[in-house]
Amino acid sequence: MRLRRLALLPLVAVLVALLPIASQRTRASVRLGLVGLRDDEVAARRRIWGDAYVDAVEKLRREIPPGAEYLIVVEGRPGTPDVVAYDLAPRRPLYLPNVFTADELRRAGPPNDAPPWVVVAVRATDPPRLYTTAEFFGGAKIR
Amino acid sequence: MTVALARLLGPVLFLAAGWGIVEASRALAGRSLPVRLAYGYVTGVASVGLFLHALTQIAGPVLTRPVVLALFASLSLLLLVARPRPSGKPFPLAAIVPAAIGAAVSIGLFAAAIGRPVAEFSDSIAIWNTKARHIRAAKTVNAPFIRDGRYQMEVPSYPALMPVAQVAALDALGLSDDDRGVKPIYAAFFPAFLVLVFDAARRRAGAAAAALAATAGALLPQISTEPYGGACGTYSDLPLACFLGGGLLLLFERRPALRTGVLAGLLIAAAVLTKTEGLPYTLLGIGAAAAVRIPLLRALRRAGRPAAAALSPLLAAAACAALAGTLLLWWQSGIQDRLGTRYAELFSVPAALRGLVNRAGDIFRGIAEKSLNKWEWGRFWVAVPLVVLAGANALKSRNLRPLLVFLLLVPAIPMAGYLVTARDVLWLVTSTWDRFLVQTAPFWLVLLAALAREAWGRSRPLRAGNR
Repeated sequence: MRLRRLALLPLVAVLVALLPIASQRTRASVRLGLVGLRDDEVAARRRIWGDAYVDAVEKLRREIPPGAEYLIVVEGRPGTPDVVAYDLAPRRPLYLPNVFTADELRRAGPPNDAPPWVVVAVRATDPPRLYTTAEFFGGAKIR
Repeated sequence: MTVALARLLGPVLFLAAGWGIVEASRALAGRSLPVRLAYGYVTGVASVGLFLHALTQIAGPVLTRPVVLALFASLSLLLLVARPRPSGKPFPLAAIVPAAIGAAVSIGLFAAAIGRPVAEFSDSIAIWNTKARHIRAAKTVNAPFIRDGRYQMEVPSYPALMPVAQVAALDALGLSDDDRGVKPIYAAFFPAFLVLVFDAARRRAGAAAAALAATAGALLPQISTEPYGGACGTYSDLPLACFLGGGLLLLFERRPALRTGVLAGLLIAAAVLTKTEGLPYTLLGIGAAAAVRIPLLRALRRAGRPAAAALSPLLAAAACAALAGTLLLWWQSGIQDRLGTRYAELFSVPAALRGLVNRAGDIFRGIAEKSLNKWEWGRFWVAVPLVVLAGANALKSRNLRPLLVFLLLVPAIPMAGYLVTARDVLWLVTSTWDRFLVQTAPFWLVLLAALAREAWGRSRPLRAGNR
């Protein structure tokens, strides 16, 4: 019986060893939470994603009306357009099968009924760039 | 500051709505107030999410503030009818440790939730919150962005109950699309999860072993403080764990009442509409509950007693799951797939056998890598086998049988995906195994409690639902 009870010791030791992680993460969470408590939505996002990124997204939000369609690609790999697409929701990025990067989109040419905007996302905290469709396919003139 | 505090009201709305249902239905009569509150919160999210999902699926763009407010108000009114009272049961002393740790961790989760937006690229952003924003704009789960294959969206057919619940809270409180209005809803699942685990474990293994299991649940970082599937992010894994665990563990009890079966069915239905895994998990859980009742039915027949009463809770839960499954499949049938992977279409026995031969090494490596990650699980999974060995006699208990059957079979569901996926299998395993463990945590934590009690030496036979 006692021997079997000893089998619980490692589990208890593991849980005790997890206490400092829980304590440290909880303190960090409280600190981070309190820092951002008075921030409005934009200020809170600035703390995480940086001024350049948030300013660029705010500009894109002003240019592209809610509900409007746009094209989105990434510049180089690795990169993901998901953070930008999320920040621009409920604007709607069009799905382009097998087209992921800006180079691939330029090679493929504009799709039928292409919307007026092309957004190029870079890395998560780098500011996304906005082009008109004509600018994007005619040569890169940044707005 | 006022807006910051208003963000905390989202969980309160769901709690009031669900607590009303729990008290009015008397499905948990006799259980302590914290247990009824925990079930109340989970039931609130489940019922509001289910109702609005079904309503907007059928009636179109009606997910508006007046509708949401009317729903919250009418469900909360049930509280006035039911007049909840404390059960008068003493607070079990053994619960002090998990309660203290759980409360401290929860304070951190809520503080981070109302002060800090989602801070990392993750499924929180790519899938769940993006879906919620488009549902909110379209006022229906049938948002064109989700259904129309012209739009770029990851896995649009992933179930949408949690995004709908998010929209309901934001609309009711008049909040913007700020993540910080949404994160507290997910954070609140954490204390509810701990209480559900404690209650289910106590009924099967006693208070001390339940405290051990709940303490593990409170301290394991992947469940509590990790954003990728834990309570700190806005993945749907912890909500799924609470819906599924709350529902099936009620159903796995020895003789649940019909009204308990209905409440279990409500939670299971929410699980079906929360994540893709919800439907197969539910089928497996109901199958496990049915299989272990076969001897009971035979005994009743021999005794000349009707079997209907013994089966009615299970049938009620199965009917709820079937309704939710129908709703889900109907909703998904209108969605044009894009970047997602439909595993059901990829799966075949030859493909799975090929996968077993070619991928077993990668699958094992991925599982070992994730399970032994000390920042996610500590050394928990190294210590567990000793407890299993020492408490193995508990596995013979008839009352743990549905839980055991479920836990033995449920890994087959992610494994089936790993064996046939078109993606890199190691990447898939390391991206999803942690979350599978979170989703099934109520079950293995309750089993851990039973094993620990056996290892310590039990004085009474294990009888689920006898307290």
